[in-house]
Amino acid sequence: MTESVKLSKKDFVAPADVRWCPGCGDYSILNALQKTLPEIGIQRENIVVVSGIGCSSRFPYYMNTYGFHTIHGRAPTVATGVKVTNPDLSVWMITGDGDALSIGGNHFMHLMRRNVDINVLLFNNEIYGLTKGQYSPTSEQGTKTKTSPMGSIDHPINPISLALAAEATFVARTSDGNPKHMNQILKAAASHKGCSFVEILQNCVIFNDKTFEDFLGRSVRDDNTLVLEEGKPLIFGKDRDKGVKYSSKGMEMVNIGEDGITLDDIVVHDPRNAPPGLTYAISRLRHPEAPVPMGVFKSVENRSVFEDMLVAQIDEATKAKGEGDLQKLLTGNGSWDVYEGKKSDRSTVTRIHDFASSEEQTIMSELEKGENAIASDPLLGALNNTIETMLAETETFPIATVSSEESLDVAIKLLLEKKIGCLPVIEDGKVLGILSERDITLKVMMKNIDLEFTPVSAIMSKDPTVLNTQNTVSHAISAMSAGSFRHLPVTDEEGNLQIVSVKGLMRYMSQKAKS
Amino acid sequence: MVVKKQELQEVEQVVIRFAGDSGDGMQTIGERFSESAIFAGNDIATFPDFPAEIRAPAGTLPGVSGYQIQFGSQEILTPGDAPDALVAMNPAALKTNLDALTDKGLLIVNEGAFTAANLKKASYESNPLDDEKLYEKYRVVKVDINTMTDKALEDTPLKPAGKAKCRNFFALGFVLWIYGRDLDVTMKWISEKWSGKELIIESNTSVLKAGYYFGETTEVGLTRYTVAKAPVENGTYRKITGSEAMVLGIVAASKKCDRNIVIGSYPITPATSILEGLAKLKNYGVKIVQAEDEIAAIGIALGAAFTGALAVTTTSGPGICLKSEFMGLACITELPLLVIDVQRGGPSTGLPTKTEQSDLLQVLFGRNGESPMPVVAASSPGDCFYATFEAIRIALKYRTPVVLLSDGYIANGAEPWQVPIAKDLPSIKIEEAPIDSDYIPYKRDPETLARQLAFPGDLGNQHRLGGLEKNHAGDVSYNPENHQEMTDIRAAKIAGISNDYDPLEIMGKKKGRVLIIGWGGTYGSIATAVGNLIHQGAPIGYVHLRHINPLPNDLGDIIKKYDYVLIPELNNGQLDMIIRSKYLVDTIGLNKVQGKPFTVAELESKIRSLL
Repeated sequence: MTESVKLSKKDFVAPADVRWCPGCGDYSILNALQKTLPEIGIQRENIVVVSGIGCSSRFPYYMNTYGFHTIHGRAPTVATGVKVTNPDLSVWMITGDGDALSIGGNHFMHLMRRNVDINVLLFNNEIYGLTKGQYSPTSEQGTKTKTSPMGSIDHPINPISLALAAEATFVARTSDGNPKHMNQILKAAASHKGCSFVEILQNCVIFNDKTFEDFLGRSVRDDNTLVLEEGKPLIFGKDRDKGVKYSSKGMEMVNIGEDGITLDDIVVHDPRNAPPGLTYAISRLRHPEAPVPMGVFKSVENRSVFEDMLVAQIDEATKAKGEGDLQKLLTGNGSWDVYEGKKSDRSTVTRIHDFASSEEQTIMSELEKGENAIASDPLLGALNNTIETMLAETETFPIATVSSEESLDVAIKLLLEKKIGCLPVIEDGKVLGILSERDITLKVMMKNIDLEFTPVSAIMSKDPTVLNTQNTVSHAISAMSAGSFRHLPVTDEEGNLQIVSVKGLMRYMSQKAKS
Repeated sequence: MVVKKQELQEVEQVVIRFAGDSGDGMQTIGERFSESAIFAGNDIATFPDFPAEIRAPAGTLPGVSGYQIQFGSQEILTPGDAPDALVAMNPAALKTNLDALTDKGLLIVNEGAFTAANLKKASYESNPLDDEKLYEKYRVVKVDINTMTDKALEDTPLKPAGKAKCRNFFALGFVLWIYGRDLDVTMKWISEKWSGKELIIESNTSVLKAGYYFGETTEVGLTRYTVAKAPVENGTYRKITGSEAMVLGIVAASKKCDRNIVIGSYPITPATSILEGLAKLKNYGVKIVQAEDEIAAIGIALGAAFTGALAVTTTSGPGICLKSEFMGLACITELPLLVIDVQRGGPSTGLPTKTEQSDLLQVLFGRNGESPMPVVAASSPGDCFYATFEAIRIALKYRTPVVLLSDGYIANGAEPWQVPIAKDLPSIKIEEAPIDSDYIPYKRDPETLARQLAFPGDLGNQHRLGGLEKNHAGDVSYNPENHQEMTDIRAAKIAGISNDYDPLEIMGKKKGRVLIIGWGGTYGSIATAVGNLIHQGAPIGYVHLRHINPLPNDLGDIIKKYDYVLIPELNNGQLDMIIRSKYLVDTIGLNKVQGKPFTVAELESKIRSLL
């Protein structure tokens, strides 16, 4: 996260011209979010606004943050990808009634149930605006549009009920005509840890003008809306004399003071602990039978957030198995080394370790088993290490080299002096041969050889096997066992020469066994 | 019984097919036999062939599961055309597989399963084992594996159902004896697989031995065979399937581009094994979201690409249909994304467990608008690693979605694979825009035409991407000239990718009578056929395409050097259509859609007909 700078509303205004119809409710929502974000205090570069397709989905272009205007109905998927990749980001998803509930109904549900920490703002105007006025999945039955000249026969969906059914952890409703309420709700949504769903009733001036006027209009809204406030009774009406009673009969609109009804009979709103049935019943309240609830229906943080659990599993796996090593993964648990000097057959195939089990039709199981086996068995793990790793982890001894023309007595003196068992014979940077104690024992002792006048080249073992430090330890062992070598020259990328000895190998393996 | 030591006759390669009910454990013994062959130093190629239904009714024809392996002392590139030996565990397995067996081939049947009920399930009117012609055509060994297994397990407390589950190991033991393999590898596997379950280890081991000793002690009059070790380069080897190799390729690329992996995928046969393989690698930082559907899967991956991850989605043909709108969005937003398509038989649900190459035109053109996309195809199980690495390299360097094609045959098939040295794999890291740098999203590298990338979280580089056409500054533009220009630039960027390719390798003659052009998983069959004909002096050349879009720059000149161009494909001529339209050459197709790979014989015969 970058350093926090105090920002204002204008910092969130992007250079692009806003192209909604004059009088569109989207303007007030854009204003509300641009005003709210600086109050929340998140820096612009850490905010991502993701949208689908529709009038509302042009929103990201107008926000001076990161933004992604995606495809119809699929914003939840892209938003999930963003959040999962970088959980530190504040992700806002802008959608509409068609985008979220029609073409994107599937993703909407899964975003809620997964509880990805994303703030979803659904602009509900009960109409398709961008395609110029067809009924949407939230349009009232009987809505007459160009595709429903006799009135739509589709039963509308209630976005709040749907979000509750999908087990969203934060569910709220506000409207474009009440910036103050919008500001409160947006702040509550932002501070909620988990997926926050906000339905914003939004007026489409062109194709569905004043559709919410019957209950949101200034003169009627006190009687026809129910403001949900935590810890307060569900009362409404200009004179605050009407309330909601919840009994086995369901929701009843009652007049306080009539028929023995007192304030005690009225439901107290509890978005954190209310039983799901009650919250759902509140979501079903509709105009004109009942006032339309506005505010936070549900706000619980009793469920873990998706991306946190994803990261936790990675941490857990890393702790248990260690950070993944690419070479070990590539080599796997069923590898074998092929080494054969110059002959091209598998005469010395050495079995290092057996194949891991592989279930019927479950071809991939080897991978994990390999990981486990290596994690649990230090010796198996050590075999798969590179020679470079081994040399780095064990004490190494200085090496000395001779040229092929050097006389044997000089070479032998060098061996004794350095207390080493072999001398690589070097010519032009290449290993021409190896002069080992064994060569001296077998080819010099008991034979009448003049040490002073015999060059090293006469008795050295020619064309020795030279491995790379990136080869595995097991590769080295098989090469040594195949050739009965006690010393094996290895070179690294730069061509530097080192020696792997039987002694060194034993020391390394015993060190690993102890660990 | 007389113990008779039979001589082992040396052969160059052998093809064996194990066939039985899908509950009979044929895949298990197929895998075990492969391992024995590998440890004996043979080269191998395998072909697991199982039914789409998880468990079709036992004993029925749709329930037959098979596993074919070819092993040899020379390089083996295919699982073989026709088995030299068939193990049939029941009548249904015999019925569905007998036609494939070579004349005078070895037929091992489990006589004990040839009951009236099983014969009926396999729609046999009479017992085929009573038909004398069977014995004229094949070398038949009847073994009552059911009874023999029960006998071997007489003294164990295993229930009949448990005993039945051990029968596959009797068959395996017997086959191991025929091919002169010892039991060590398998016995070790059994004891590791059922570690802690002594009864099961003991039972399976004794049945395995019973099968082996049955061969050794019975005078079945069989010739036994041996296959010498295959020549092979020095190095470390492992057995690998195509899907395993893709998993490794993705992880290797992530290390080499220094990005974390985010996978959005939805399970679909035959691509699921890649998703399952990656799910086990959480300690490599792999983030996986198993999405609600194919569309969500690619959406999640694209969101991850926008945020700077190495983004991958895996699927098969029907999934590509669903992903295509998002592939278009990835194309216009120019974000690096790997889309893996493990092809299967189509259209629609088609043949989910069978192989085909019929998604090529779909991945090349199956989107609205001008939306060119690189397409890379893997040619063998082991090559899936390098093809994946290459596809990711292209995606990152050119900021583009790339389709990587595999197929059911190489995804599930296995071969020995020389393990690469991690350190030697090249870096594919790309530079992103410096922070707070007056970032312009569509500012391009003049050479590659790749646009500069910045990720959410980068200070001062806020920008908006989307599916609407943009101008260079990244603003939405409906200007006609701008759309023409942007379309042309996107096309030129993809076309320029071929400048990265190495020259094509030609197998055989550099000019001559017939050029064979192959792509994807048919490599093994075509290379074997072409190799055989070249050995006989045929004037033919063969190129195998890794990159289908853009095509290699040198392909046009190569085509001109031959009289005929033959394009064998497991579809109705899709690459053929591309080559014809691009090079205006009258190509000849060899096409097949039977859910099976080409046989070497049918390829050889087609090529011969053109000589």
